[in-house]
Amino acid sequence: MDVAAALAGYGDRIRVALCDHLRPREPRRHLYDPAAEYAWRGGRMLRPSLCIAAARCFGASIEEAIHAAAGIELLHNAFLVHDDVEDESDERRGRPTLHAMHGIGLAVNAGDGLLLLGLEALLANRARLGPSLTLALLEDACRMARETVEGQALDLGWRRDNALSLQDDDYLRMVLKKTCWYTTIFPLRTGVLIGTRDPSRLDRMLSFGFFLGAAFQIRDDLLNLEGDPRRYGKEIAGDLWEGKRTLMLVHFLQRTTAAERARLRAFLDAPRAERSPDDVAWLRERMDTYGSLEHARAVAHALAGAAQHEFEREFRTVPDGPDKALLAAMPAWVLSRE
Amino acid sequence: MSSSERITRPHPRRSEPIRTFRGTSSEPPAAAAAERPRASVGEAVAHAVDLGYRVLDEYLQQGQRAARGLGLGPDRAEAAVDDLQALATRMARYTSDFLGVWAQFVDVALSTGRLGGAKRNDAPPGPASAPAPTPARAAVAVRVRSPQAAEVAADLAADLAERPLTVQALRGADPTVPPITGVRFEPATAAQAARLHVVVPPEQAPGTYVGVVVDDETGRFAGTVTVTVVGTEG
Repeated sequence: MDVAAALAGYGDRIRVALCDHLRPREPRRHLYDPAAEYAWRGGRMLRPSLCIAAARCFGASIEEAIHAAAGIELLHNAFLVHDDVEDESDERRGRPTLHAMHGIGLAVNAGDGLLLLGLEALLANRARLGPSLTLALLEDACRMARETVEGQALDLGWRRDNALSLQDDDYLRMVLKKTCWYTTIFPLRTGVLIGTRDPSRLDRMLSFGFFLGAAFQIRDDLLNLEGDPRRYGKEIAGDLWEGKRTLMLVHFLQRTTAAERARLRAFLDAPRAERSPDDVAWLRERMDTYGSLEHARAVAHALAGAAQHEFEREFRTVPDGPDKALLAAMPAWVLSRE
Repeated sequence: MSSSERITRPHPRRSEPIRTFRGTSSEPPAAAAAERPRASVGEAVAHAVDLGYRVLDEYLQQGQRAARGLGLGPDRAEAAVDDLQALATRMARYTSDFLGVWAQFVDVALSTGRLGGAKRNDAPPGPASAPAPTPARAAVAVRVRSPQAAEVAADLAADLAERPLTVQALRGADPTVPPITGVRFEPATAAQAARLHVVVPPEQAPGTYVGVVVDDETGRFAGTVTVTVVGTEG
């Protein structure tokens, strides 16, 4: 299964739909052009593709799912804009972040606009899907948004309070909410909802989505430390500069000596602008010494294996086809992506 | 050759066998952390999957409580209960079912060096496209002493049945419930098949308990034992 090719195929269809939702309109310069910025920078369209593939697995047509898929991508872009502000990130998809280009005020407002555009896209197909299914989609979008902001609050709160006593399960709880819900669980649930029209059994996608999303996030965090700068699209080692509680940092935190812990505490206590390259290099070197990256790789493989297991369980009655094959290939793909 | 030129085996830094699987060792002081043997891949995998299912279980229970608090209809509450029961059963089965999948997964990953991170630009490992054949399982005679009805399942590769094996404590989904520790493995001989002895305490709470089997000599993962305590019959 060529996952990249399959995602590219879905991506082409989704971009056409996005053109409709992100069409130029006034005020262009201060709202709609910045709001469209990330969408046109590329990206694999992973989330909307999961939605379409799940919908088609359960018998829906691509036309029935395409607007919801576009809505998922718009909501994703909204979170990215706000996330970049909150994390003080410099780069997104190989270019300056939206707030770096337009200032925090316009960027946050564009993020708000993207949220509304995403919800409008979820409503766009109500004539075809009917009111009750459309309402169910919106209800699930609200749940996803709530889970995501709760997870983001955990992540930001740990950094603000300089939490040092974190364990692997704390990290997984945070990732379940912050990443998995909007990256995998919600897209899969949306697709299944459109395909089956049955909102009562959506939690069956929770396990597959959680394990797949967690493996995806850990791989993403690893790429942040060791990815190819030309292909990664974000600042290499940006997570260290931001003091982000990744699985690697949590692993190191559990193993520090007293002297290391004191230095790490001081480093994480300092504002990002006051963190030095020497300290970042030291932190990375300590992670290597303690095998923190190796640990994270093993955990990502384990979770991807669990995702494979859950997929085979939940999709065993689904007829074989290219959409099922794409979903089946996702656990291996998240580990191999660059 | 003078005595100073003799080639000697380096003095081992450990003072006892390294059995690094889950639950076999206590944490050393933090100061020595960098020097201790790192967790094996198998240990990290078992730990991660176990943790993942526990986090999911906890999350579903929170959702169930929230659903009750909101007075959601019986359909959705029932769905949540079903999910919990299904998850508990899956937690029990995952090591036997999933580790088979995982073994295929890791075999492919190891063959490309990806687990060690040495070759990160290879084509993706493909459990879906390159599944390994399921290995033969060992025949194991099971002896159970339990005042409650209990089901026992052992999943062990056939080529390991004659090896000295240790069964780790069998743990349930609820971390506050004591594990089942009275589980012992007797290797196969020319005269008899491998035997598994299981003692379930009378006060053991009903539920499903899973433990990992470890090869005593290599410290590596060898299989799983699952005991489901059904409860006192009648």
